[in-house]
Amino acid sequence: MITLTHYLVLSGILFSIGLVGVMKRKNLLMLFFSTEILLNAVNVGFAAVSKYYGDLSGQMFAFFIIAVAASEVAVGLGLLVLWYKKTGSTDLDSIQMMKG
Amino acid sequence: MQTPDITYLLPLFFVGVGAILLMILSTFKNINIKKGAIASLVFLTLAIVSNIYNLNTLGDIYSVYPFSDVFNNMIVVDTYASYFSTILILGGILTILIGLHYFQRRKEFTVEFFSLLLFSVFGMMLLVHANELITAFIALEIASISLYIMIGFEKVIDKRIEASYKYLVLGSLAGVFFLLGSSFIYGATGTTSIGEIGIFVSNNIDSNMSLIILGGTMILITFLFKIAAFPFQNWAIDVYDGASLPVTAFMAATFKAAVFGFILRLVLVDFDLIRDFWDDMFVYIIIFTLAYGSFLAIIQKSLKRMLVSSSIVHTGYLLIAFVSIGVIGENAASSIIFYLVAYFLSALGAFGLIAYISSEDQLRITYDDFRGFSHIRPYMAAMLSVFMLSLAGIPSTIGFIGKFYIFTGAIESGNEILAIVGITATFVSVYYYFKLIAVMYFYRSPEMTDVPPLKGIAPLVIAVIALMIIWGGIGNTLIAYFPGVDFLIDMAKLSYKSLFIL
Amino acid sequence: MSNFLLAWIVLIPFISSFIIGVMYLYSIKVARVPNFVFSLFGLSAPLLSFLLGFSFFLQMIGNDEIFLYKAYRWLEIDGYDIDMGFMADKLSIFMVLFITFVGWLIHIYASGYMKDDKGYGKFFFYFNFFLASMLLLVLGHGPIIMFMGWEGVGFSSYLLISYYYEDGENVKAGNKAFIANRVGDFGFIVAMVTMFYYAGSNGFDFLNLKESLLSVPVPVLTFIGFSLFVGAIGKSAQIPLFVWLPDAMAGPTPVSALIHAATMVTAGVYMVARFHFLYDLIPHVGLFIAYVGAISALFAAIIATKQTDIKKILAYSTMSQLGYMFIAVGLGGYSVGIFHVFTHAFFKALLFMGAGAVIVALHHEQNIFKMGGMKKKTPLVYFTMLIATLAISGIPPFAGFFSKDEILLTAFSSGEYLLWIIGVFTAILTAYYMFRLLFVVFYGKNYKEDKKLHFLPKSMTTPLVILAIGSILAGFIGIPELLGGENLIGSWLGNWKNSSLHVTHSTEIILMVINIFAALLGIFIAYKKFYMYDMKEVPIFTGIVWNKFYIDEIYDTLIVHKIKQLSIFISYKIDVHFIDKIVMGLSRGFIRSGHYIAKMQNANTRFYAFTMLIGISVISTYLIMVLR
Repeated sequence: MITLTHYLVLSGILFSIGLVGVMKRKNLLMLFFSTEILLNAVNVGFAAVSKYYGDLSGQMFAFFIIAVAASEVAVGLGLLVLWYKKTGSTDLDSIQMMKG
Repeated sequence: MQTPDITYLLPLFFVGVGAILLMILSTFKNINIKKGAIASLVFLTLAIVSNIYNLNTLGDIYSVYPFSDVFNNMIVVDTYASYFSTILILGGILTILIGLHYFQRRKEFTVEFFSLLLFSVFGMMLLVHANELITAFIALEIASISLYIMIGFEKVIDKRIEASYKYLVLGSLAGVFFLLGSSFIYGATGTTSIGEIGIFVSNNIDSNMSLIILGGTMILITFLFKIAAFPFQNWAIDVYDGASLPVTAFMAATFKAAVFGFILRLVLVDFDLIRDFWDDMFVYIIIFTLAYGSFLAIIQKSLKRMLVSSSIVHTGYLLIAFVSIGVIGENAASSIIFYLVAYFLSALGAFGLIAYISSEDQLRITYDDFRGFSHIRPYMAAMLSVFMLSLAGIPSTIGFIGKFYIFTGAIESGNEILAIVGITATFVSVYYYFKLIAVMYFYRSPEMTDVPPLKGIAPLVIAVIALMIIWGGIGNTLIAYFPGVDFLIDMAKLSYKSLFIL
Repeated sequence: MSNFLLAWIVLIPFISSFIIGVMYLYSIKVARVPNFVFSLFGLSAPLLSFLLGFSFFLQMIGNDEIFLYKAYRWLEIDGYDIDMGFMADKLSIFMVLFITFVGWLIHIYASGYMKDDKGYGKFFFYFNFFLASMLLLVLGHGPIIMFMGWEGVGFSSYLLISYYYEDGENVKAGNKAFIANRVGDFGFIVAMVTMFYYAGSNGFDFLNLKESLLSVPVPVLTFIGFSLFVGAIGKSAQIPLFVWLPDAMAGPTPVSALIHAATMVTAGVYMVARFHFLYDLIPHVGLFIAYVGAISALFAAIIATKQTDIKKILAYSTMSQLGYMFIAVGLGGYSVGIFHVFTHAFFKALLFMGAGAVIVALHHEQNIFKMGGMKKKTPLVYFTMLIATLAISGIPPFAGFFSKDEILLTAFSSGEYLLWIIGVFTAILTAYYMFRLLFVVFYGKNYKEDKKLHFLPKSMTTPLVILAIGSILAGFIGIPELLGGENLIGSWLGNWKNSSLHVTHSTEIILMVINIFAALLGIFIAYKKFYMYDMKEVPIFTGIVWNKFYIDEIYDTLIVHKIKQLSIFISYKIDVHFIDKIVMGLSRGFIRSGHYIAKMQNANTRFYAFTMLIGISVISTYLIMVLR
């Protein structure tokens, strides 16, 4: 029997993967994937809790979050293309000019 | 007679519709920057007028859920939200007025920029009107995403893109914690509505609260990130520095106010009973924030980076009042609101004026570039000095009164240590603020460089801001019957009260 | 009702001052503004204020109404509210009347005196600002508003003394006045704070203080009264803070006439009278005040006998006359003191203006021994000066006689015979040095040069005549009962006059005769020594009196020099070796740590994310510890 706990554990694992990804990944594209994973981890949580309470609003939130995530990525990808055109690199560490 | 629900939402409506219309208008070739600016000013003015109309006609304190069957009480219109909305819309208007000269000089800016600005204002307004966590998140993201694009708008400059990128990556990372916190709270209480969480908390205060506290902490983390408190402050300097000056002015002045507007509502309404858990944490955060900001500001050579670093220090001051809420709720909350206004004016003025000065060229960036500035442009130097004095909190400016309320509040609520640290940070701040004044007045200019003369609307607006700062410091004690500081404080107290009438 | 007009008495000169100031700036920056525009604004303000004051005066006749107008709440400090309020009772309206009237005349005079000055507009800007501050001082409904006026008066006096700022000496004189006044102001502030602490809870204005001071213990009251008097000493140039007054004569003569003779210096007397309810409770402080006044009177009179500068003689005589006023108010004869303030304003302003006329006529010569024979050359000035001199010497029926007689009578009847003796002796000296001045300047034969006299415009001579009439008539509002008159000023202000004069009529007559005799004696000595004074050369004086008892030098060595030494020690030793080192060390340390911290700001996004997560982990750990 898969209970709420299982879903929450899944959500937690996904979240950790996402966090590690944000920290470790240098490729900008991968970075966005990681943020997506983070957001979807939360989505899983919302959906599970929503089912548990029998309250639909949680699942509704998941849709909103997906929309927000999509728009964030849209902006991000735009910037990525711009940066690639300028420098020919998608390395996050190449964006590092303003020290001090 | 019953007020139609749409009246309450008119300010939001004007800004939102204005943003969309501007987006459409921007496709037409014959709409130039100036026309776009005028159109957005029209919408913002309509919004602020309807907002002030609401504040005036709906009584001293009010709180309603417009279209509650449609919005399901997700949006609240009360004195508190209207007060903040006024500040935010004003921020938008002033940014456009001050930055217009700058925008016209840089060919990168197009009409879409104003649309984004309006979207951003809309998001912030929605944030202070939000009565529900996910609504707040969406509002926050509307405001943030618009800002990401606004920051990177001048895409020929690498710094802009870097700033935009950093903000985007780190901002979405921080946003995730907001959602995580919301999901915890949703899991614990089964609701995300602010009022209902508060009821749940007060009903179950004896049972285990850890999940709610954990969720609240996650939300507070996002909040701390957005206002650039330690240890989430690293991004702020790079982002603010990378953005073009009018955008920096807009962000510095309004965003902090909007975020505080939401979080104050959340903490005051929901977590009133369990807030003590965070008090010790905040003491450390404040001390580190103040120290970090001060240390960083003191070594900066670029004026803009100095102002940005010092904005971290101002976050620290605001948090001092935030901690005092536990003991002296009403006074502390109103002192936060008041300080936000004071900082809003001073920062907008300072950034705006520097933006204006450097709109022709990028020559005046560091302290040294301002050597002998008072000999070239005495009036601008005087205004800049006023802003510096206000930021440093020197008496006879509005900044002093703001700090005064915060520190006395801290002492009243027994946080003497925070008051001492805050005052020390103020001492240090005199160093980097007055350095500019000293440089402007006590040195001869090496050579005359090109500075735009005092002409057009921007210097006028900045001068008005400077006068307001002085007015806020001394004015209302001189002439009666003219709204001054007392008026702002009374309004802040009323808006605080309006949080609790439903 | 029409109480708000009280505020306008003060506001009119303020506004006119402001307009003149703006116009003056305009005239130096953009285009010249003709002098008559300045004069129009400058001269109309005191007149309007006078008329307003007069209307209140009319409403007050025959009743004891006190007009109170609270314009708005100025400050709110935790339940202590301070209003911007104006109060007019009989005392203040009386002050308003003569301040505006004499002020108006001096304004007219100044419009002639300053005619050729390039700072004409600036002068009237300051002048009206002074007038407004003085009126605020008089009309304030509480100590704080009074203090605002008090400071405004001090400030404008500073500006006006250093009016000819191209000469460093004048600036120094201005500084001296300002600093001496600050010492006094400190006393005022201390008194005010103490008063606020002990009695401020029921409203900090004169009407409420009158009640609430009753419950304050006497030692505290003594302290308050004493500190207040320190303020009065500073403003009214009594021992030991008088040193600024003679130097203040560096300003233009109308300034000396208005500020340093007729109005500002009497602020101290007014203050003691205003706080009469306080001093009534502590008569011992009053006695002290009276003695300070008496000693100042005598001291100044002695110095005045040896001075050669015409304006300095008048300055010392002012100080001496102020001493008389303090004798009166110190002994509780407030109305008597104010009466002398009133008559003094007329004849002293007249003396100064006459002196100014002589100075102008002789192309800015101030040494009386370089003058002479002015009687023939400027008969009008001579005639009016004669009246004023007779008035100050106390010859009946001129104004000074009545008021001085009343003061000495008060001293005698209070049983303070020593004060009385000092007073009479000072009266002899007064008559002596004033007639010395008169004889030397107007009869002397020293002025041999045939330089053409400077022309005196009508605007300068007309006020002389009006004031001369005033100097003759002013005394008649206070004719003692003995001579069949009615003491109008006594009954006008009478509701708080406490020293009932219980001496027999015969004693009174004897005293009066003694006074007249004293004055005549002084005149006789002066006549013997200086009538038709003819000396080939300007006499050179030496000696302790000529050197003003070396007071300036004593102050220099004892106070100024010591403070200077201390400052040098602090600035070169403590500051450089101690404070600077600490401050610079601190700031260096700060900057160094700043550089370390800036290393955190390495612009690497992943590092930023990393620090964020560390922060979150720390917070979470902390939470888990708290929650467990």
